[in-house]
Amino acid sequence: MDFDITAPAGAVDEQDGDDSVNIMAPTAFEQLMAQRDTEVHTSNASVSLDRVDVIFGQHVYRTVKGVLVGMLRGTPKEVMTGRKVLDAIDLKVSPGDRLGIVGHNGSGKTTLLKVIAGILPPVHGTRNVAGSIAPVIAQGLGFEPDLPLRLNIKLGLAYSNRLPQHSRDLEDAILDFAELTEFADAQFQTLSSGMQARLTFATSLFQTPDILILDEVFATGDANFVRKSQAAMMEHIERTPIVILVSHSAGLIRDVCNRSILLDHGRMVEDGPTDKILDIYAQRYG
Amino acid sequence: MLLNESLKTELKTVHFIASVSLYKKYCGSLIGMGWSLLNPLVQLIVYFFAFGLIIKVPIDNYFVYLAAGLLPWTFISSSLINSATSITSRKGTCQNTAMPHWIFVLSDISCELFATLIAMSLLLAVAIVTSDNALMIVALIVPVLLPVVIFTYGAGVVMAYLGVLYRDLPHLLNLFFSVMFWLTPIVYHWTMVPKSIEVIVKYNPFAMLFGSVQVLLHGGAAPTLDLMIATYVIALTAAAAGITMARRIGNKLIYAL
Repeated sequence: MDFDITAPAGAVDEQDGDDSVNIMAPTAFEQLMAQRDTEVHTSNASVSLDRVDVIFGQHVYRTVKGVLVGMLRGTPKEVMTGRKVLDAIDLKVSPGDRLGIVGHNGSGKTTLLKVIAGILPPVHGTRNVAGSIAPVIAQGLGFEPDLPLRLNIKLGLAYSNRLPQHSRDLEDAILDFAELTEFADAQFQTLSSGMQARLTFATSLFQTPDILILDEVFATGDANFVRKSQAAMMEHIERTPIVILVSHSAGLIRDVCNRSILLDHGRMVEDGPTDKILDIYAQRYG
Repeated sequence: MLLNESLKTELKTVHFIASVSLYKKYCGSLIGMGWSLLNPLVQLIVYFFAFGLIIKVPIDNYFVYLAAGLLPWTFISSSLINSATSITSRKGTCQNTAMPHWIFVLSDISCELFATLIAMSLLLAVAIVTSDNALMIVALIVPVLLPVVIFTYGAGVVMAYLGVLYRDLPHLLNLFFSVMFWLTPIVYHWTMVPKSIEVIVKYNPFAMLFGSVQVLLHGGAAPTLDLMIATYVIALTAAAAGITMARRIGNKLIYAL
């Protein structure tokens, strides 16, 4: 999906004549949002998880060395069984839902996001997702340190199955939003960690999915950039049919989400209005 | 239609990731992609020196014969050994994207294919110049090389998935190909093999895959129908195994990464 940021609709060049009208050109992000409004989204976007289990560590002893170590330790069975990170999760999310996921550290929040995003296939149970999905997950997009920013943007799009959207204009828009245009041809590894985070965020931002998945992505870069990112992301959230958000900030969950679930050691223990769930969470975990 | 669009995007992604890998491989290098040509050329010269000039293997136009076997051999062996680590070497990326893992495997093999095709095009030029049947070589080169390519992509996907579960696989493959190199008629002709071990060479799938290339480029003749059918059966079996594994296993091996 390309969008032209060089000739914004409605913009009139000031130098065209005395009687020209100066209308402020929309930013690339505003154009993306305007385009979003004209697009027909999958009306039946939905997420459905049925008795989903995720178990880590089941394959530990699949190597010859692993089998030998397990035999020597004398506890192969426990390790072979693995650690159940998600336990029989049933979840249905429909258009209009802004779902917050709350829970203590290690409760399975990010794992659940990865299952919904299709990164982790369920070990047991089924996952059905209708509509396009965009995970904005804190760990990054698989950027290569020794490649220039432009190539890394394209790589980020490829890794998130968005290569057909790639265009020079989109690259420019992402670099502009990340305030990194002057470093377009520099290697990713030459950027500061704050700059790297800005590029990751901006690359994730420029997409118009039916289902937006967010994992603690709001606090990136300096104060100005955080403010700009938050504003852009909130606008994004408003226009996306389904939003699923993991955050440790109760305020953010309360502002964004109309429904929340509470996870406890991989099990979904509560599902309901955000205020109620946050109150239960506060009571149980202080 | 949705499936076709999805497959189209995935194939574009394979192409892009392969080109990024090539860029990374040769960026900053003095002769860049010239290495794709220089590496096999030096290897060919070394084998030609040892077997053509010193041992004097009694095969006419030995350099072309050697190249017709060695280039496909290097393509298959390098591709399969690299494939065994295609997924495991990208653990971080696999754990953060929903992209099908087989895309990485096909990208890595495409890099090898690119390098092989550069060298192969030179060999083709030499074969055309030195042969009386230039037209036939041009007409048949694609149908003859196609099974080699299909086999490598299919078997590469299988190796990549097995490589996640069995981390010894790349080492085993190295050993396997070291042995198979001498059991495949690359530096010698299959007629030179003693009767007692002829069966090993005769039913070696690599010998069949390269046999048709050698017959065409060195012999200047069309491979027999039997040989062509055998190469396509081998190639399609490997492709079917790769597709089946990719469909059945998908990204489930992420838990073993």
